[in-house]
Amino acid sequence: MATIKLDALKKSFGKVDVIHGVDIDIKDGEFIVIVGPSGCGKSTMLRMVAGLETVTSGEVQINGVGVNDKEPMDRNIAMVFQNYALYPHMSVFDNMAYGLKIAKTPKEEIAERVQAAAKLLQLEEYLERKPRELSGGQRQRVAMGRAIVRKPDVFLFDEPLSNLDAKLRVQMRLEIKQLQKSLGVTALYVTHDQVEAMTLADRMIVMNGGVADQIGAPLEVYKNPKTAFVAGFIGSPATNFLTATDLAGVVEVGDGTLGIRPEHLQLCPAGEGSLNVDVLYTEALGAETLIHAKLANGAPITVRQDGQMELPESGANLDVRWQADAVMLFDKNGQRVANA
Amino acid sequence: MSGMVEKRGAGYWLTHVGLIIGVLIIFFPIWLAFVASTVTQPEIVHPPMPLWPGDQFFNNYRSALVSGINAPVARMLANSMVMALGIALGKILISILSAFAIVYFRFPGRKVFFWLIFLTLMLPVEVRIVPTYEVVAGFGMLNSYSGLIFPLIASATATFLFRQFFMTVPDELAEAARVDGARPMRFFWDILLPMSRTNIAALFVILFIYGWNQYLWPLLITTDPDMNTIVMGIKQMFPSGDDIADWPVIMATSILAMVPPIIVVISMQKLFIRGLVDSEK
Ligand SMILES: Nc1ncnc2c1ncn2[C@@H]1O[C@H](COP(=O)(O)OP(=O)(O)OP(=O)(O)O)[C@@H](O)[C@H]1O
Ligand SMILES: [Mg+2]
Repeated sequence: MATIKLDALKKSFGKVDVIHGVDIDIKDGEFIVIVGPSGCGKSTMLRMVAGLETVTSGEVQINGVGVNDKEPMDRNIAMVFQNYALYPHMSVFDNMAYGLKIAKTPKEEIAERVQAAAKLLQLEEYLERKPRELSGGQRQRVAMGRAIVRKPDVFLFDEPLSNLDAKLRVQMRLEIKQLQKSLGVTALYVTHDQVEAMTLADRMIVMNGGVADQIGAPLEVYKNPKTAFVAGFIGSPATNFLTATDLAGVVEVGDGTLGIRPEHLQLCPAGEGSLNVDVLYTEALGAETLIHAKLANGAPITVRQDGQMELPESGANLDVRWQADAVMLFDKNGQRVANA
Repeated sequence: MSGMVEKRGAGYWLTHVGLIIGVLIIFFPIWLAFVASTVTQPEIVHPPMPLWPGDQFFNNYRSALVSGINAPVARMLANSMVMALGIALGKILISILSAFAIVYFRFPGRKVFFWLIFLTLMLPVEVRIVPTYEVVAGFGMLNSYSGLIFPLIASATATFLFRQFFMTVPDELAEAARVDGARPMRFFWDILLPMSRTNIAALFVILFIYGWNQYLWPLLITTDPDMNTIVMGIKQMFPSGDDIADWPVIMATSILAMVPPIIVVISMQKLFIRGLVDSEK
């Protein structure tokens, strides 16, 4: 059980600044997801919390105590790596027990705890196997088990599901969430997958090039993105961004942009909406349909509509319309500005 | 269709015949040595040389093992064994530790040390034999096991090999161990060493034979026949001047000299292959 505080956390590798100062207070038992595109510094931040990477400036606090100079083992954290990092020559049991052995836990207690974790993760039959004799999903579970048995204050996950196939990913996602809730352990979870972020997070940190663009609950971030980057990154299909030339007097945006989510746009007969578009092609996904179109000046725009609705013809000339409160306005630096 | 099969059959047999002839040619001198070690001295020196074993096997081998010529062969075998094991194990120990240091620790001069080790590749025993002799003599290590072993222990090749292997071990493994609370040496013992065991087995075979076959160095620093190793001892058995060579005993010694490396190769080969079969990383 732990609270974590990141205080103006910065990291540079030599001259390259990778993290530009991140602040967050994490409550006990909270599930925090760090999400962002590749190379934005997610792993680096997690590794600073783990103690695998030194802190350039600022502070990491766990339970109110600065841990910048503490070794990973003294921070009472457990980490699950993307490639699982299981010890290849050890059985599943030994993999899970290794940390406890080093901590000189009594043998009976080790056996007890490993058994309990194995039961929780349905690994009981595999305890004697070597990691290479397991499937990807099972290895993933062993890595989880290794984290659980140590009863850490904090779970750290670095893209733990990205090596699994789509179906397993959904299943493990649920399991991780349930596990974390039932154990009540504070968790930091790195992913570049926004669906994972939306479903797992109590709060998420959206990272953009080493800066935490927004920290907030998933739906709050979705509904109320603070920057154009967040609006574009969270939500699928991605938000449409329109500039003054695209809008040609429909809305006044100056040198900023207007963001509107595809799900907030509706197609209507020409003349009835705000912007005229030519339909390029449609993607019928069953429950929903994505309509890719272009504006008169060629700018692309995507509309999402319900799967039951009528499909427009390719090449059809239609209008799009939207509700005024669905519009998000950003200034030229991508910062959100209040709707006029 | 049947023509093709016949053709393939012929090729198959031809290759085998070729290989068998090759093996026979290579094996023939060893066979002659073995034959010579089972007959009497006069039978060897009077041509034609016998091609089939005689009845002196036990006599010759007993006399070689127990009394030899300068020193009993049993003694020389033991010396060689100590030297070869010492060199093989010492080299493995030193090189795996230096590779560990070079790959896993950031210390000042890391690159310099690596290149220094690498440079010693260009300095085999023969090149540095005179200064090395000076040093060993200065330490009073002539005619001793330490004198035989220590100067040959440093190994750039083995260090290099372990370094390459360690670099293929994912960083996350070291990090996971760190999170689990393993200090560096613990990580080395519990994780790196067991993962390297196939490499160690392979190296052991190579280095044991390297140590066993040392000739020049033991020749130089062991003047006491009791410290002779077997490979150089064979040469020492050759008579000087007009003495008559006791060829059956010398040949028995040669055959005996081959036995331990063969045992090592065959026994370690099993481990080596088993290691390869359940190879893991
Ligand atoms: N040891 C290092 N030395 C120099 N630069 C580094 C080092 N580690 C990471 N970086 C740089 O820091 C930046 C952030 O890396 P990081 O691994 O945190 O990205 P990430 O957000 O986890 O990306 P991904 O989703 O691809 O894993 C990258 O631009 C990377 O090139
Ligand atoms: Mg990463």
